Amino acid sequence: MPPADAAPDLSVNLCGVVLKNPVIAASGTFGMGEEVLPFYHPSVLGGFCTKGLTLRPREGNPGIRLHETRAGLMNSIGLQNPGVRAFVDEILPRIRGLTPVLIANVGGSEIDDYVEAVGIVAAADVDLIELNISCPNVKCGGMAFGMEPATAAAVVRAVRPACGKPLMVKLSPNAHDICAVARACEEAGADALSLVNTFNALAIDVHARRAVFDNVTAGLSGPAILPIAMRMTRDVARAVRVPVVGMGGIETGEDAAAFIMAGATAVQVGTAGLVRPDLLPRIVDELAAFMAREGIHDLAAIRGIV
Amino acid sequence: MTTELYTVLANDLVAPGILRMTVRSSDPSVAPGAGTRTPVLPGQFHMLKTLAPEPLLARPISIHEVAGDDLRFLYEVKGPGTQALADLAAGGSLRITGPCGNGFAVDELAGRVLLVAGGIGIAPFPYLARALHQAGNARVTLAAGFRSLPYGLDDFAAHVPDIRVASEDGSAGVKGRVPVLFDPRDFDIVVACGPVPMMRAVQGICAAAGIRCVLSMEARMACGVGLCLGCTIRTTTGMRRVCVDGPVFPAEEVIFDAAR
Ligand SMILES: Cc1cc2nc3c(=O)[nH]c(=O)nc-3n(C[C@H](O)[C@H](O)[C@H](O)COP(=O)(O)OP(=O)(O)OC[C@H]3O[C@@H](n4cnc5c(N)ncnc54)[C@H](O)[C@@H]3O)c2cc1C
Ligand SMILES: Cc1cc2nc3c(=O)[nH]c(=O)nc-3n(C[C@H](O)[C@H](O)[C@H](O)COP(=O)(O)O)c2cc1C
Ligand code: FES
Repeated sequence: MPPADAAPDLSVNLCGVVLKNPVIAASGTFGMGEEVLPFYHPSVLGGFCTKGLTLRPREGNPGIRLHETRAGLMNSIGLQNPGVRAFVDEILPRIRGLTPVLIANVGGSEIDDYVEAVGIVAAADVDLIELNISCPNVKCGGMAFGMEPATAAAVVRAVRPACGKPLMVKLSPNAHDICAVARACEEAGADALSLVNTFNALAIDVHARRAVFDNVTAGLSGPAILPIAMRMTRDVARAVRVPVVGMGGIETGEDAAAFIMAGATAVQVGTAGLVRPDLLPRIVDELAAFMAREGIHDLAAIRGIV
Repeated sequence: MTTELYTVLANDLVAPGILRMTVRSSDPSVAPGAGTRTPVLPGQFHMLKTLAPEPLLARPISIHEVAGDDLRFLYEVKGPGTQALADLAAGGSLRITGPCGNGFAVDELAGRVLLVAGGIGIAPFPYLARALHQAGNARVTLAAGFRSLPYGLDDFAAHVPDIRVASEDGSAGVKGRVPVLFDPRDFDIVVACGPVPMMRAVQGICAAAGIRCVLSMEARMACGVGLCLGCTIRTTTGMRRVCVDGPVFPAEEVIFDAAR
């Protein structure tokens, strides 16, 4: 037993990768990590995920990319990124030192592209691969794989041999049966799962009588999705043995604690860090303060208790 | 760049739907006058959000004037975000991130400088005009277009000798849109801020006359600091973020999307 006044231990082990705390910046909401330097040094976080990377550079979607809803944000960025090669050659050397745990988020729309992209990034100096099989923005793309167990397993099985690093698969909440997809990814070789990506959603401009987004639908994130994301995190954590990283609408240290009680090993924070760029270290502090107040020495004591 | 709590010193209506707000940092983590803040440059902007949970996102608002550590904004009530700002009384609190963006390159603005404003696009120009006046290398003309009655012009009296006004309904100045007010060949450089149709028109007029032009662009933003890629525009050098690569761009680099 540690003494009662010992500082709480926030560290977690995510499929062999040790994070100093369970708060990870979510992909697509943290640039390439450098952008927060005016506010804080990203090494205070458990780690961060890069913007979604694809084999070839992508310009992203034209037209409106953001739309605010009640307690939520809809986005249709369309995986704008410089491509994995430019990432490895130009960006990675700049950002490697920013965090002890660098998670490269990889997206795609063809299995061959996923395999090649993961091969390139996993061979570089990153700590973990997060495979995005759930981006709802790329037409006939990522979404299709994450929707059904068979297609999800097909990508994971194909990518697995090319991935010399721990492989975390990011699930779509839009799947018909997210637990079935989760189990299929685990069987196909995923070392961890993260969820949720954004919810496919629709906004209509009634004056213009058309959809707000050119792609018609877009992905919903932010506080509005938290209770559903938390329920899904619990369902998936109970359905698989690999560790689960939960996210969706987290804004406070207590939100993070709730996801851990639902079974998450670690959490990611996206939209809330856009609203307030200096927020993420506060979530770490709030979680530590919560643990100290509640006499929780180790997150394992509350993981999955609900 | 910081995210800090500010207190509203004043928040007054200057014309129907147009307010001017002055704020002072009240963040206990930042000592007053500590000099830890980045100086605010003309053409930069801040992300403003009330402390209420809704609306969720902060709103980008240009720096209108600075006085010591106090910031001043001029804004138009358009929807829930700007309405929430308008509802703040003196003494109220808000959270502000900034200064954001590149701002105008004041030292490159020399000779005969024309500032073209469309509506609330006038907001960043008083601070710029004062900076140009202080630098002493520019003779500044302001061409300001409004839908109806003008606002914000008194801010220029001390620094801009030549103020030209147009209104679409003829209620002040020349009846028509802002391009009726100038011939770009009378200037060395044109600086424009306003709605997209105006910016597109000014870009075209200046290109045709071979006159240098810079545009201060608008885009919907979530973060204002380069994290989300929500604010990108198409340029001759690829997709660029208005919030960190702009908002000020050389006009010849901006590729406007087809009108929709
Ligand atoms: C760099 C920059 C500087 C700005 N400076 C000022 C300023 O000094 N004063 C001022 O009054 N306004 C300024 N704006 C515009 C201001 O940010 C928007 O009017 C505001 O965000 C609208 O929010 P809302 O909730 O009131 O309205 P919403 O309901 O969000 O929007 C009302 C209308 O404005 C459009 N809109 C929403 N957000 C933006 C945006 N960021 N840019 C352009 N159109 C938008 C929407 O499409 C909608 O048609 C600036 C914008 C940018 C990008
Ligand atoms: C602007 C924006 C861009 C995003 N881009 C990506 C991306 O490139 N890859 C990815 O896997 N998820 C992306 N996401 C999803 C987030 O990583 C996260 O799964 C989701 O937003 C839910 O968390 P939140 O409610 O905390 O934002 C993006 C989300 C937003 C808001
Ligand atoms: S508003 Fe987020 S990158 Fe510009």
